[in-house]
Amino acid sequence: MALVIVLAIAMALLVMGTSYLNTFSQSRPVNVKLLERVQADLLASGLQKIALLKFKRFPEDFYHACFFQFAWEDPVKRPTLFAYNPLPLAVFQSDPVLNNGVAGLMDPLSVFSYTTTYRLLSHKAYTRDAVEIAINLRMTSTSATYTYSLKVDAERVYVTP
Amino acid sequence: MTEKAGTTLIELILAFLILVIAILSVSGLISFGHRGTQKDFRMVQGIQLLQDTMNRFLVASSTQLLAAVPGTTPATFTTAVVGIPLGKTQVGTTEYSVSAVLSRQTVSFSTRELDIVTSPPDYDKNDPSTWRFSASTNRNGQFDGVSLPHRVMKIQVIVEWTEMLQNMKRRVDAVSFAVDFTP
Repeated sequence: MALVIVLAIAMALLVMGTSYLNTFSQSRPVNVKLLERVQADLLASGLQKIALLKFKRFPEDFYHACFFQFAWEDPVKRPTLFAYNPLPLAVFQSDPVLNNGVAGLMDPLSVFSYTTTYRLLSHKAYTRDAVEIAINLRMTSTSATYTYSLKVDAERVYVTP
Repeated sequence: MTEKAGTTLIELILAFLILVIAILSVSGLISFGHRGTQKDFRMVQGIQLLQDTMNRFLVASSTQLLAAVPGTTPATFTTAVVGIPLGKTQVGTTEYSVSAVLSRQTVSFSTRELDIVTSPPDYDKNDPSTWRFSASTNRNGQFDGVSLPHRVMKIQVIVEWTEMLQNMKRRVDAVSFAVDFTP
């Protein structure tokens, strides 16, 4: 009888121990994901600043490229436009530094890919624009793609010569 | 006279042995789990330290950061730089070592410029059908320290600590960029 009772207790203890180990092993990968998320956040923040530097350096090229793109996407206006290949906006956002094209830029991090896109959100009535810079970033260790968006407010001022 | 069934000494010893083995196994499991939890806790502390240090770099003056690394060779800092504390720091019972590698990053940008010269005579600034863009995409957008001064600083922050029980070095790092926007 003593043996039966002890075996039952031992079995219960082992089941509890196994479930504890199982819980523990499930919580461990969270730390790896946490680190990856922090790395992605900080990296994207830096990349957005580089993209913003480009906009600040060439604001007129960006606006021309965007307005040309708006016309290009309008089926009525499109036939009247000169067919550039690639389009000016595509050129604007195709720099290697903004699209995973510079070797060693991310070292020692393991980044699978990233892309940068610019969007112009115009408020014509108020001559105000918001420039949206979006970074799509995918680290190598997981399949998740993180998207980061930065909106910069700008006012359009026409200078008459 | 009737015989009563009892528990023999051998049965008691066996039961006791089984109980001891089971308790030792479970306590071993709990101890292993506890060590793992502490290891994870140290990792989380390391990540927090990493994030905090990098955030300090990202809000620091980019001009000062660029001045701290005059050449193109990456510089490793293990003591405070531009007011950001680096080096050894004690969090709880663990000693972390925080360092940073700063390097000037060359970036080049290309765009297609609006070309007024080759645009048709009826050029209208409000009508994209009258616009002509330059064939070349090579604008003066090379921040390489030659064409234009460096504006981008690559920042790598490294946090290291030692796991006491296994005497194993652990390390987490992050990379970001600081940009000098001054005109």
